[in-house]
Amino acid sequence: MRKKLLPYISGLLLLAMVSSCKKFVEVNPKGALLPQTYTTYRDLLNNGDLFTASYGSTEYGTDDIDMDVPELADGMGTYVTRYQWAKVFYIDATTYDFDWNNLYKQVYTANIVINEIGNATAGTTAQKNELLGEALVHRAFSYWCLVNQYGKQYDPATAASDLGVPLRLQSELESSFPRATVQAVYDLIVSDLKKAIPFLPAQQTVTNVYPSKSAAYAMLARTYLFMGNYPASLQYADSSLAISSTLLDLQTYSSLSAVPLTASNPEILLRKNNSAIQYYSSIRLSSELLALLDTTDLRYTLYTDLGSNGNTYPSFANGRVYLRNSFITGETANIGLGVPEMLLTRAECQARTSDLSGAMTTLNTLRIKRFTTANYTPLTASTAAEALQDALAERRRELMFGGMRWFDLKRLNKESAFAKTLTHTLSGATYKLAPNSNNYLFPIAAGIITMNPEITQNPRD
Amino acid sequence: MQKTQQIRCIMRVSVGVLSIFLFTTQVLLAGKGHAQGMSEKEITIGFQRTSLSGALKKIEDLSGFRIAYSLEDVEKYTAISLEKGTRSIEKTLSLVLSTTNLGFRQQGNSIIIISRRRDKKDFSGLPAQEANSDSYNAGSAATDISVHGKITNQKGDPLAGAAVNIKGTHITVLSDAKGGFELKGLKPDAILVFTYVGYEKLELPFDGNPDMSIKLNVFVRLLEDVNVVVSNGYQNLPKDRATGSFGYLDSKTLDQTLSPSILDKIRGQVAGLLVDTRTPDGTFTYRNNSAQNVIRIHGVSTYNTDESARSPLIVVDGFPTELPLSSFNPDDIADISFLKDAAASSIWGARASNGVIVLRTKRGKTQKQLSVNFSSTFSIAGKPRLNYLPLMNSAQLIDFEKEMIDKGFETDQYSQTFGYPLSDAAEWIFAAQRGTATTVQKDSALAVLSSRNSGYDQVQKYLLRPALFSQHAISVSGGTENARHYLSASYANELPNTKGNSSDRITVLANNDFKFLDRFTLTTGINMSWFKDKNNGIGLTALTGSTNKLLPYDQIVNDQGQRVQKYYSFYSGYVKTLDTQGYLPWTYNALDELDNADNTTNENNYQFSAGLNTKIIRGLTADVLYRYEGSNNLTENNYNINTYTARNTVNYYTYYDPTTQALSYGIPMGGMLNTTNYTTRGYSLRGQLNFARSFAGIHDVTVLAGAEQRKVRAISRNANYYGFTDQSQSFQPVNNYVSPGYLQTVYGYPQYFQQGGSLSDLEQRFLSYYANGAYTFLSRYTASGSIRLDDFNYFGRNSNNNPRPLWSAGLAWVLSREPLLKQVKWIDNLKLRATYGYNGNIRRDVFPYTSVSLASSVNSITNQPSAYVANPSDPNLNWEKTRIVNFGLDFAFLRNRLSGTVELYTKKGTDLIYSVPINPTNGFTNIYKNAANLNGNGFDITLNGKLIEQKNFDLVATINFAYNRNIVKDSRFTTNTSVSTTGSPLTGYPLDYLFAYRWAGLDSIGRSKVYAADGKTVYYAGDYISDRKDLKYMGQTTPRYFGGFQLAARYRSFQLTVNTSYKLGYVLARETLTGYPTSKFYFPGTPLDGEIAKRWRNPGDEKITNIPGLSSDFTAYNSLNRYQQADINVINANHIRMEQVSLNYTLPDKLFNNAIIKGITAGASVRNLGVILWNKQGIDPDYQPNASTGMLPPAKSFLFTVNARF
Repeated sequence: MRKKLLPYISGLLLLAMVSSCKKFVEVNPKGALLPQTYTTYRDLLNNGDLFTASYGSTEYGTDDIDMDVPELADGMGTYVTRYQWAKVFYIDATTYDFDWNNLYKQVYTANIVINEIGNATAGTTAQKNELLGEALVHRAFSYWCLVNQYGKQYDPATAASDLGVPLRLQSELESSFPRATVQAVYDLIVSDLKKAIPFLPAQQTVTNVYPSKSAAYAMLARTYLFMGNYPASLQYADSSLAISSTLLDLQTYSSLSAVPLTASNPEILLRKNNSAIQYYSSIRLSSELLALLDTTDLRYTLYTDLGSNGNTYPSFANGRVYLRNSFITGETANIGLGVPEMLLTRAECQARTSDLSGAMTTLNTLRIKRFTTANYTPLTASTAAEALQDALAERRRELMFGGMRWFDLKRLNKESAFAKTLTHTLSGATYKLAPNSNNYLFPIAAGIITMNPEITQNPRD
Repeated sequence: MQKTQQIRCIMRVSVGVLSIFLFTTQVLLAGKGHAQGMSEKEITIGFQRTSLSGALKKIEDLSGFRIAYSLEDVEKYTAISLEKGTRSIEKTLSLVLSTTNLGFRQQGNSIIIISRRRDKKDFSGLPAQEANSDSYNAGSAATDISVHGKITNQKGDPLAGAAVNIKGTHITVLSDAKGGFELKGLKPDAILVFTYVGYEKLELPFDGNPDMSIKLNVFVRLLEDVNVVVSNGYQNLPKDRATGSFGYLDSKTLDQTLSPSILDKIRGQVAGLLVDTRTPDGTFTYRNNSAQNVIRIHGVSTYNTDESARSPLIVVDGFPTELPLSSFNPDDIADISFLKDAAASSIWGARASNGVIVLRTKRGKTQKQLSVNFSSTFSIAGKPRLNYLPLMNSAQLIDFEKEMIDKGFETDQYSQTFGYPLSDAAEWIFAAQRGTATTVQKDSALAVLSSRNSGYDQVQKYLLRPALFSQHAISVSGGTENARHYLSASYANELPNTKGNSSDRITVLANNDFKFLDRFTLTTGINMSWFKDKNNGIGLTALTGSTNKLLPYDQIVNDQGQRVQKYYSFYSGYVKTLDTQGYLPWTYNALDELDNADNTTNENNYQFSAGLNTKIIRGLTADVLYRYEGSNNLTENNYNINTYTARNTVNYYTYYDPTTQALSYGIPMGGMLNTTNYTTRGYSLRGQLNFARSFAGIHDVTVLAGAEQRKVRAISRNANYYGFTDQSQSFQPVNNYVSPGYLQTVYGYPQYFQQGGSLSDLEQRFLSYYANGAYTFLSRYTASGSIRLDDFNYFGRNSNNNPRPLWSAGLAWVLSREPLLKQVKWIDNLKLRATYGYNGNIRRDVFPYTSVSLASSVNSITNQPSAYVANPSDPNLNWEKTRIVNFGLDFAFLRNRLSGTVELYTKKGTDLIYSVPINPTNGFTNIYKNAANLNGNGFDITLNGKLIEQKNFDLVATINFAYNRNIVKDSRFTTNTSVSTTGSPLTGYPLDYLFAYRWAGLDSIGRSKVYAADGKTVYYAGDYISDRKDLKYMGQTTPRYFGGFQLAARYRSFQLTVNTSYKLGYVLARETLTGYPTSKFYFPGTPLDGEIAKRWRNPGDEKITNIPGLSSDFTAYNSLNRYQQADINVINANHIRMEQVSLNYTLPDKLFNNAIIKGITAGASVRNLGVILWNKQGIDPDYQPNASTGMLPPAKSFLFTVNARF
């Protein structure tokens, strides 16, 4: 009797415990978070290494640099191709372009936040909106870097047909990457920024890696400036300056090590780092740039030094070195958005819209903080053209090695008054870059085109 | 809540399985009917002048009956003949036995052969005696004494059909299905004789106890090879019925290798098993899955380079374990099975690709008395041979330093701020240059240094020592029929070569088994181990740093006996300046460090197991098994303020303000404590049904099915504390930041301060369903199948929703049991096997969904916790699959004098996870996909020869030989743009390929030249080489052929074992010129590599040397690199290692008659006797001498052990 019942009794007992098994293995491993909660999205946008490193090898192509001394000749590594405006940047078919990869990684990560933050758990609507706003500004900044590096200078006449860069707006992986037009990319930048502004706080207090309202305005001002829409640029520069206009008074700093680092510099509205130039790399100033800098200019005394003083690596005997990415600061130079750029943008737009006195006042607002009281003399100009000259010269001085010069050269080439042929020499060879040359457009890495031939390569001269 | 749900899962599955089984068994039973009697069943048989035992064996095989007899009765009949014909079994046996004085009768499925020489009349009733009576009444015998009992084998399995005879009478009964018997009418002085075919006869005088428990020993000579019972972790199966490829080591074989390490005990012992241990002086300090302790079964089948993805799954007592093998006392291991092919291992499904190692710990046996075993082991190894490292002597080094200074590689640091440290020799040379010493002073000082070769000697003297090991272990085993126990405890202590390091281990094992209520068996196990490791040693690292190393003329202790302080951070003069500013002394002395170091790791491991087995109906049992396992490892590195580490760290973040002349401390002044707590814990729960039954004596069916869930959680917590005081157990916060996250440094500029600390918490969950079955017909033909379904929380959504089962199928054919071959006398066993199936491999670092990884510390830029997208979503991510085809041949000839196994296999990995390049416009340059293939194949041969087999002298030789090779056939890996000599997979080559440059000597200015593929074109160091063709394929870097050779000799009670292992068919890139500088800009520290002494110096030297000259031109790196990776530096790695010779002596039993001690065995062994090499450089490929890692080959070690049984 007992024998026969046993299997059935145990069977019934077991049956009583029937439940769903599947859930047991549907638990996500820790340490590998799914982006689900507000905090995770916040953490993604906290990734300073990802969102700051943006571009920078453009510096080697500008007229601010002169690497033609024996100590530096070999030191540029692969960036020598930028210095030479070489036909080919990437020799073999598997090499990638770090900046392209990283900027698109910023886009990818921003897309995840933009597309998914609405469904995030925890976090208030305001908090989520702020993340959305931040991600939109990051995406806009990335596309601005991409389109200006790989696409033609924005020209209202041709932008709708000029090739920009592929537009990635989804979180999923894609297999086809046709290049969108310059117009489409600019449209996205403008719309992203305008969408972002209402969600952002006026200023960020935690870190200047977080975009703020003033940064978004500044980015719009920059974007419109590069589109040639000076009134709009002026308007947004004003909006930005209305929120943040603090400038460092350089005469209060005895040496560069006393100047606030990027993280705590109140001039910086959005921190982005030069991705190409290491903090210790020697960047030798061209004689043209040196000629532009007065030796009493505090930017000359604080930010440059003899190449032989060993503050960068390698040292060189002849000439001056840029110090804001040196052993003294221990950090790479900032190429993001800042108050000085807004003042310069305002000044340029004022000059271009014939506000002569406004332009000079704006410029002097900046300049007074760049000289000791003893050495300071206000700039004056008698014509709007002169004011524009001053504004552009000041822009070159203030934003030196700040990531702007290459794009400014490209932009100003469109105006015959400012068009300019660049010359670089290196180890006895001379290289030239004509205005509006195709070589102003960086070639797209061969590895990227090998994988997706629909990505049209830029022509080279 | 969760828990309940988990248990329910298993239960539901069990119910399903159960109902299927209840249904099928009823069908099977219904078809069976009554057992056929031997008078009905007919067989066709005939033979000529054969031995009676042979005749009976044939009848046994044909009839399906088990025929039981006493060997003594049968062996004298050697010329039995029978005319071929078809007769009933009864008739056949009658005829066969007609010329003997033997009778027979049927009992159940057995036939018992009984001697009737004493009294023919009493035997008249046979064979009519009906089988179903469990007892035999001796009838007329006059006494009332009766006995009953149970007959089992040594494992406690009941022996059904064993014969019990009252000696001197015809009275014989057979045991029933449970091994039980009952005899009545004994005389008080009766002697009982127990016999069972294949087992040794046992005679026991009746001792008055009516309840007997009899254990019979396997009759070794005949059956040791046949009766091996291997385990796949889920079931035990006799090897002769297995289709799969199993390797097997029993405790006897394991005991032959006298070593405290299980890895030592299995190395070279199993064909196809490669064990590569690189920690010869740390026998139990090793941990699993470290690069120093590699285990491979049949090679590699994945691209994942993580050691845990290439190592076999380790199963202990039925459950996978995360514990290191070193946490087990080898004496507690009963046997180890190695599952090599799909049929053997695919029951482990998604974790079986690398093979499976199944360990079983010892369990108690039913025996009258507890047996107690005590053993003591002591081992000592010689000092490591430091001179094996090819290092420069003082004179050579000074000569080289002079050249470095002449050429500007090393410059005077005297007036530098933060100058790098200068060696004593360099200091004298610069002193002469700057005029603070005269040339004469310099020369005489250098002469003193040149002749002083104190450094290496002092490392040997002060930092190294002979390795010592000792272990004491006790075990108690025993049990009654209903309760059996095995308890053991051991303590071991190890002092490895490096002074300051030591390890203690305690292990405890308690296995208890209980039988109750007739049908339940409860098995329990507790296994614990504790480790305490001290890691204070410096050892060879004193010679392997960059700037902080001891040079040959340096001293740890000077001639006056004082400890010499070295400056390893900055130039000594500069450090002295810092000292005056109030910095902590920035000096280093190895002995001071040894005195102050306090780095310990405490680890404890535990396993608790319980299993309940229930008999449901005949042949069908159900198991519920549970295992909880965990490990807790706490490492505490306590750097008090006197340690160099603490002083160096505090000083580094101390800033001297020249204006105020005050020091500001970035991190609190005081010691540092670094703690890492690594905890794993997890459980497995399994419900399983087992069915094993024989039908009609010719159909053997074994089936099991079950479900299992398993959870493993690994938590790691790491933290740093600053300003730590051990006594008060207090620490201080780091808060002297100059800007968020940044501390001011000694250099005067702030740096991001990595406070350190990391956290991780990974939980793996598996849910598996499995079934395995085998059917054997006529004991000759076996078909087997196995299937397993795995869900794993790391697999993709699509994969878990559409699971793909892993399965295998196998066939085996015992040719030697075919009637035709049965007559061939010299063939004892001949079996062919073929299996096919799929195993899986999981990857624990890849996730199927968009996964975000949290950075382990706050982001240095935002100073906020940050995260990054580690992997974009791939819902199709699944396990890797390996298809394995295996053919096997088992054989035994000449009365088992020659036996062996041959395995032939191919493995093909498909769906292997590989990081596949994708367009970086996606935001990723690579993602992991189940995308790649890898092919492998190989064969194993094991040969066992009993060369001599005599009463007092045995000689057994065993050789195993394995060939394994993998080859990348996946066209994805054809890329030819990278011309590295090793690295990423390459189509047409094994994973571990090695290329080399074709060396063409040095050019006239001492730079390397290499030939292009055509052998004519020469590439100079300045040329760019872009075509892989210009490199030469040298071979693979893991052995293609490997195995071992053992010789076991016994003379009386002396047992001598010689073990050797070998690895062949591979090459090794010799490491050379470590630290040779190629740039003036960065001083890498003084190199010590001995080959530097032979460098090119002057034009013309290229005719006598291959060592590139010291140069810093832009080709210098290529020049060095191409020499290091040239074909002349690739050596033949083939070698044979004399692992050990051991001698065991068992004291004669008669010494211990009636003493408390039952027996004593003493053993001694010598390990690491030597290596036979095929390279002229004398490099032991397992322990490549290297100036950067300082690997030394194991020294000879001597081990003594005494084992006493009580």
